[in-house]
Amino acid sequence: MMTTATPVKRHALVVRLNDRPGALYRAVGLIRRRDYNVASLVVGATDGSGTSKMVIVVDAADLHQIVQQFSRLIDVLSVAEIPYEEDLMELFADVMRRFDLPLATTPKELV
Amino acid sequence: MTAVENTGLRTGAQILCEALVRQGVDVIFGIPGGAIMPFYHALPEYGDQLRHVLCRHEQGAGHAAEGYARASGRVGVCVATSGPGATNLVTPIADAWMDSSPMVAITGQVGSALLGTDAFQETDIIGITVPITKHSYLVRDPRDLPRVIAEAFHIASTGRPGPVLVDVTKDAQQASVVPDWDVEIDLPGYVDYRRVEPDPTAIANAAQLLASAKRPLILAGNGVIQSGATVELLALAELTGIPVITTLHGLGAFPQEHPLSMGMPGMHGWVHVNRAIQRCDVLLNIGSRFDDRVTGKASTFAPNASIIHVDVDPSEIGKLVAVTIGIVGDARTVITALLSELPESMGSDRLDDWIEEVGELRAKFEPRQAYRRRPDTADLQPHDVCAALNAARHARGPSRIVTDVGQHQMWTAQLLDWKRPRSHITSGGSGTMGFAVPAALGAAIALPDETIWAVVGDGGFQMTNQEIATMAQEGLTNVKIAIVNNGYLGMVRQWQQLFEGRRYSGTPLSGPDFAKLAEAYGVRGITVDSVATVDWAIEEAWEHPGVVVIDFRVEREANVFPIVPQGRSIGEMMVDAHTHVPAAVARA
Repeated sequence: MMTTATPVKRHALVVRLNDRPGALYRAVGLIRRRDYNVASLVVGATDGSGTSKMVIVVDAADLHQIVQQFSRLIDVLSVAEIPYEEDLMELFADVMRRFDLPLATTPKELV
Repeated sequence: MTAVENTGLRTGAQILCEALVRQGVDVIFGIPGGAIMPFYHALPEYGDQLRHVLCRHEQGAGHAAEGYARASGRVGVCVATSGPGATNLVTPIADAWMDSSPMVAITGQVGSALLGTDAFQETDIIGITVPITKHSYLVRDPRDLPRVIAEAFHIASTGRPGPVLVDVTKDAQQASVVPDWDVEIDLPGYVDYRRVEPDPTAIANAAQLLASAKRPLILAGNGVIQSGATVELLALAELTGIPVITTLHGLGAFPQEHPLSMGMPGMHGWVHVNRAIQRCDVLLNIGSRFDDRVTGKASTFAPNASIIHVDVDPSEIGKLVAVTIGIVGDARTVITALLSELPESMGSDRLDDWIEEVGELRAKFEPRQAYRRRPDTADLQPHDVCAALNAARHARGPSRIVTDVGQHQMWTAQLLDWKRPRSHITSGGSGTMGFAVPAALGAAIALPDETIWAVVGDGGFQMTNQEIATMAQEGLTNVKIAIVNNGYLGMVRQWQQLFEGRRYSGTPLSGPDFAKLAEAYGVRGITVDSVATVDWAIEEAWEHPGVVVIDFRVEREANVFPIVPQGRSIGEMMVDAHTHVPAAVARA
């Protein structure tokens, strides 16, 4: 649990958080702090309850500590690790394909 | 205040002041600047309720707020303007975060319309401090201030305490509204774990484990002091007969003169304490987070022990050390629950063999015998300063000791007696040099009837000594500063000596004549360079009705022993050859 030798693996988390400026930044910051890469992220307001839901896929050796620290955030209402499935990435990829952008050249094109 | 009272209209700045008063704040530490000017404009109206201490650097204001908080147990408040004022608070905010000190930092921010435009003195201070704050608020509407300030103080002071930042735009301070003080703290994502009943199954299991242990130890940390659980801890130790060790931040949580008091563990802990940890079969950690300076190489820490970890922060349990039983809760609540679960009498001879073993370890490695000053020199030793200060504390009235970071910090922790909570204030987790002088300022304001001693190295002193000017302006008389001056960044030099073949890169350090510097600030300065005048100087400082700086010019290359080399097991301690400890001690 506390070693760095654990192999990196793909994890998926569902997080319910306050639908407020800064909430996403705080949550994602915990991933960045550990130098883990976010493979995919979907976030949005859900049901008019003033909360939003985030599904995040992370390549990480271990997410246990991050899950613990997520729940310490005041803007996070609940968090759970869900089984990672390839379907999830396919779903996200579909959305991505709908809004395609060219690879940027220099200077960046505003399209 | 009278003219506007009729309409009920208040500026955001006035609301902010009143919100602080409503939280019971009586002193704030800060420095004005453009974006916080409306707040400063309103402040004189509240002058009889809110004392403003003008610091000389925002880092000083932040550490002063920490010193105030740590000495009093109340929330410390610091104030700065936007941009550089706010970024200068980053170090004390990080320090408060690491040491779980309750703090509310208030910063001015550029006007709402200018946010994100790289306006003059605009810095995204919330973005910068997200990883080192418990929570933060950007306030753009003055109507939010009553709720935001109430929430900020609630979050800072409950659960595991910590810093909260409130960033208020200039226009929010200027705009006038009718404040609604009927605010409800609504934080569905926040649990105050001090108020959560500990899991009864875990309590029962822990009690059983403690009752059946043959070689148990209690490790007490900052959490015991923060929750005010020292009486309960004493009762638990006396009922169970279990020896108690105290971390750097736990010093004072358990009276050191008590027969069950063992001392401090870790990198510069006592050999007998670290040995006891490696031998124990049950370790009850109350309110300490297994910092690497305590555990050494974590995988080799307490290898024979079942570990019970009590912490108010669930994310600490299992973070670094695998535990047998984790109990989330406030130290006092948990100890009280354990006391009611344990039998009323546990048999006086139950732990005889263990107590005897611990006693033998102690007799063999007794700190004040084995780690006394070097006998082979007449030069002034840091140990002489600590011994004299300790003796003077016993003879005099109540006092607190605030230390900085480095060798002097460890000597002070090792060689002074710690008998009551909040008598030892230091920068532990963050290890912030420059902490002591401003933190002593804050402690002195919190406790005007006590004498506050700052013990500081010549390196740390030169980082924040400008706050002596603040003490002079405030007319403080109860701060005494002892500089353990060895002309080096001593702890780094010690590592270079022990582990890097005496390659003293970047560590030799000059400085001004500190006594003259003190006089230039308008306070008393004394230079001590021999053992003969140490006692006199400390007495003189205690007697003098004003701030005193004593420049103790100690032997330059004295070292802190024992020491566990970084990354090694606490079973492997190095000790000083000069103090005639048997060579066998140096090995595990």
